[in-house]
Amino acid sequence: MQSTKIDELKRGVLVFLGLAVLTVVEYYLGTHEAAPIFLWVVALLKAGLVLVYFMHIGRVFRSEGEH
Amino acid sequence: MKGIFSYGIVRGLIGQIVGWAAGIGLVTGIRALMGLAYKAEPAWVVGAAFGVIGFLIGIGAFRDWFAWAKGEETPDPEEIQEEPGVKRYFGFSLDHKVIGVQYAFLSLFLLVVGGSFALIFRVELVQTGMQWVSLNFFNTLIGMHGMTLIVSILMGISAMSNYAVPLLIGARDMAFPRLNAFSFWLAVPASLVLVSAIFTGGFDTGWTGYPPLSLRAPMGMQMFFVAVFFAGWSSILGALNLIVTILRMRAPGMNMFRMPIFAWATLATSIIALTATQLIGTSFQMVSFERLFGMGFFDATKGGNPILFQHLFWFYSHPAVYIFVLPGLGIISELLPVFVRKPLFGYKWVAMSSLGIALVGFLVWAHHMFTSGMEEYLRVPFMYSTLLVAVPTGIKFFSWVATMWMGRIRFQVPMLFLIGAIIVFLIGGLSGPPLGTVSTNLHMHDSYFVVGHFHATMFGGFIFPLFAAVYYWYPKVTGRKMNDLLGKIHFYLLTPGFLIMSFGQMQVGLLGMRRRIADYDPAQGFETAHLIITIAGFMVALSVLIFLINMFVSAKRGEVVTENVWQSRSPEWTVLPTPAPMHNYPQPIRVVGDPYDYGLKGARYVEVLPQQAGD
Amino acid sequence: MTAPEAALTTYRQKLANNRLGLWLFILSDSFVFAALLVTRFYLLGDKRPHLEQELGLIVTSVLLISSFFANRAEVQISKGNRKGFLTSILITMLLGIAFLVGVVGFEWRLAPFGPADGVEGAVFFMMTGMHAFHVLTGVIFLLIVFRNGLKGHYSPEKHWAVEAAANYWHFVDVVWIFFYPALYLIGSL
Ligand code: HEM
Ligand SMILES: [Cu+2]
Repeated sequence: MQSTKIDELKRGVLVFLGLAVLTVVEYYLGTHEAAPIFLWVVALLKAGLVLVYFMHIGRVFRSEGEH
Repeated sequence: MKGIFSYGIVRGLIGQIVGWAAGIGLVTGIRALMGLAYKAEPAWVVGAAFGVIGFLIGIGAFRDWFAWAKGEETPDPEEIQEEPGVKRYFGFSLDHKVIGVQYAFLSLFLLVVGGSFALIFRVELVQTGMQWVSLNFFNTLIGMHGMTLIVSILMGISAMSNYAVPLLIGARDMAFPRLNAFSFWLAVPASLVLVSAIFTGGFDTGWTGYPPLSLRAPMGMQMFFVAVFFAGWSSILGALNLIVTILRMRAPGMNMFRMPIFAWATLATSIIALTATQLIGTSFQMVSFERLFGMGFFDATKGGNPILFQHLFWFYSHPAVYIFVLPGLGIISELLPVFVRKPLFGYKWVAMSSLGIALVGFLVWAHHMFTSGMEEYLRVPFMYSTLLVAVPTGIKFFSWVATMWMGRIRFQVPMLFLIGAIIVFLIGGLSGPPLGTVSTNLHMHDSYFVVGHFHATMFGGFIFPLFAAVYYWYPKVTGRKMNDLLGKIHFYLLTPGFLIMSFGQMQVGLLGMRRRIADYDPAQGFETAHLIITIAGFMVALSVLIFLINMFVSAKRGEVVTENVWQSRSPEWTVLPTPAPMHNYPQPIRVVGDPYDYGLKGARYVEVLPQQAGD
Repeated sequence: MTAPEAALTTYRQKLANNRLGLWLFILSDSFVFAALLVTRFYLLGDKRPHLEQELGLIVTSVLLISSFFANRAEVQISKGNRKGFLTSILITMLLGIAFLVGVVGFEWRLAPFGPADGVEGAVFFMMTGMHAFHVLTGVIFLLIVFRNGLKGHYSPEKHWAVEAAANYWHFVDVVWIFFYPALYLIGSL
C-alpha cells in the first residue's frame, strides 16, 4: 500500500507539470494566431489529464467503493 | 411544534412567503442604497427565487445537509421508522412510496389546474370574436396550460418511477432518499411560482417563451422562467437518483437483461432528463438576464440572434417529449403481459428501443425550426434524423401487437387503458412524420394540426398509461381496489372524447386554424368544428373528474384486497404484503428467472432468501 | 463479519453510489457550460472579446495550481497525513479566492464593455459569471471540508467529503480549461 501512495504524490506533480507545459504551449499558440483546432486539441488533452489522474474517472466503474 | 405547524407543508408555505418578502426587501434595499427607485421586476425575480429556498428551509429539506456541513452525524434513512398515517404525506418523508404518492397528488393537482385553463380558453374559441376573456388573458392561459401540464407530466412520471422502480428491482429504497424528498419538495414551491405568473401580469408567448416577444412580455414571464428553472432542477435531481438506483440497487441475480421494462424506460428517460434539462434552464436564464441586465444575447440590434434561443430551447424540449412518453410506453410494455397472460414479445428489442429513442431524440431538435429562418442546410439532415425515430418507436408497436396476439386477454380496467394508450399513441405517432417532412411541415407548422399531434402523443404516451398505472398499483398503496364501474365509465368517456378532440384539432389545423390565436375569421367555416372540439374537451374533463372521485371514494369504501389482485409475477405483488410496508422487502430477495414468463410452466422469477444469521 | 467490518462494507457500497451520483451531477452541469460555449461561438464566431491577455494567463495558472493542491489534499488524507491534508486544502481555497478576485475584481472592471454593451459583453459576463458562481460554491465546499478536517473528521478509509470537494473543484477547473481558450485565445480581435 504505502509505496503506491507515494507514487500518487509524485504522479500529482508530474501531471501538474504536464498541464503547465500544455498551458504554455496553448498560450503561445493562441497569441501567434494558430488554427483553432490546435487549441481545441490542447484543451482536450488538458481536460483528459485532469479527468483521468485528478478526478479518477476510472473509479466510478468499480463496484467496490474504496478511496 | 404543535397543531397545524406539525404539517411540513404549512411550515414550507410560511417559509416561502417569508423568503419571497425577504427577496423583494433585499433588492429594494440594495437599490435604495444605490440611490435607485423601487423596480418591480428584479425585486420579484429575486423574491420568487428566495421564496423557493424559503419553502425548502421551512419544510426542513436542508436540515440533515446542514448538519453534515457542521460535521454532525444523522441517522441512516434505513433506520428511520416514520410514524404511519396521513401526516407523512404532508411533510418531508424519506420513504420512496410516500414520495411517489406525493408526486402523484401534485401531478393530478396540476392536471386539474392546467386543464381548467384549457376549458376557459376553449369556451372562448367556440365563437369568432372575443366573448369573455381579454387578449392578454387568453395568451396567458395558453402558455400556462402548456407549462402547467408539462410540469404535471414531469411530476407524473416521477410518481410512477419513484413508487414503482425500487419495488420492481427489489430495492429497499432509492439510492439517495434525502435527495429524493428534496427533489419533490423543490417542485411544490416551483409550481406555486408558476401559478403566480397569472397574477403578475401574465405573458403572451405560449409555453415556448421565444424571444424577442418574451423580452417584451409582462412580468409574469419572469415568474414563468423562475418556476421552470426550479422545476427543471427537481427533474434533474430526480433523474440522477433514479439512474444510480437502477444501476446500483438491483436485487441480486437481476442482471440488466432481467430488469423489468419499466426500469429500462425509466433509465432512458432519466438520461435525457439529467442532461437535456439544463438547456431549457440555461436558455430561459439567458432571456431572464437579458431582461434584467440588458445582456444582448437575442437582441439583433446588439448583435444577438433569436435563432440561438430556439436551438438551445429545442435541444431540451424535443428530448423532453420523450421524457414524457418513454415511461408511459414502459408502463404499457410492463403491464400488458400481466393482462394478456403471455410473455412480452422481444424483451431485448423493447429494452433497447427505449435507449434508441432517447439517443436519436437528441439529434432531431431542429424539426421545430424549419420555418424559423435557421440555416437552410440543416433542414434535410434534421428531416432524416426525425424520421429515423419512427424505427425504434415502431419496434414497440410490433412488440405490443405480438404480445397481445393470441393472448388470453383480461379486459380489466388497467387493460382498457393500455389498449386506449396504444390506439391513441398510434394516431399521435402517425401524425408525426408529416410534420417531420420539410415540405409538408412548411404548411402545417404553427397550426392546430401540431396541437392535435402532440395531444395525441402525450395522451397515448402518458395520460392513458398513467391512469392504467394508477388503477394497477392503487391497491398496493391503499389496500383497496378502485371501483370497476366508475373506472369503465372513465374509460368510455375519455377515449371517444379525446379522439374527437384530437381529430378535430388536426382537421381545423389543416383548414388553416393557427395555434395560440384567440380569434379567427368566420369565413374560414370551422366554427362548428371548434364547438365540437370544446364539447369533447369537456367530456375529457368530466372523465377525469370521475376518476378523481373514484380515487378518493375508493380509498375509504373500495373493495379490500390483500393478495395478488392481478396475478402478477412481479415481486411487489408476489412477495410484499398489501399495502406495502415501510422499507419494502423485509427479507432479501433473489432473481432467478425472467420477468415476463406468463403462462410458461415451471418458470420462476424471484425467490425469498432466508434471513441472514446474526442480522 | 464483525460489526466494524460490516459498517465498512456498507460505507463502501454507499461510497460507490455517491461517486456515481457526483459524476452524474457533473455530467449534467457540464451541459450548462456546453450551452454557454455554443452561445459564444454561435454569436461571436471567430471574433474574440477584447480582454487582458496577461491577466487571463495568470488566473488560469492560479486555478491550475489550485487543482494540483486539491489533488494533493486528497492523496494526503488517504495516506493519513492530516497536517499535509489541511495545508493543501487551505492553499486550494486561497488560490480559489485569488482566482475570483482576478476575474471578478479585475477582469470585470478592466473589460472595455459592460454586460449590456453588445453580445461581446453578454457572452463574456455570462460565461465568467456562471463559472465564478461555481468557483464560489466550490470555495464554500472546501471551507466546510477544511473546518470538519480541523475537527478531525476524516480518516484514510472514510473521507468521501474530501474526495467530493476535490472532484467538484477539478470539474470547475476543467470548465475553465475550455473557457480560457474560448474567451482569450481562439479567434481574432
Ligand atoms: C413520441 C411522442 C411524441 C411527442 C410527445 C411529441 C410531441 C410534440 C410536441 C409537444 C410538439 C409541439 C412543439 C411546438 O410547440 O411547436 C411536437 C411537434 C412536432 N413533432 Fe412531435 N411528438 C412525438 C412524436 C413525434 C414523432 C414520432 C415525430 C416525427 C416522426 C414528431 C415530429 C414532430 C414535429 C416535426 C413537430 C414540429 C411541428 C411544427 O411545429 O411545425 N413527433 N411534437
Ligand atoms: Cu420534436
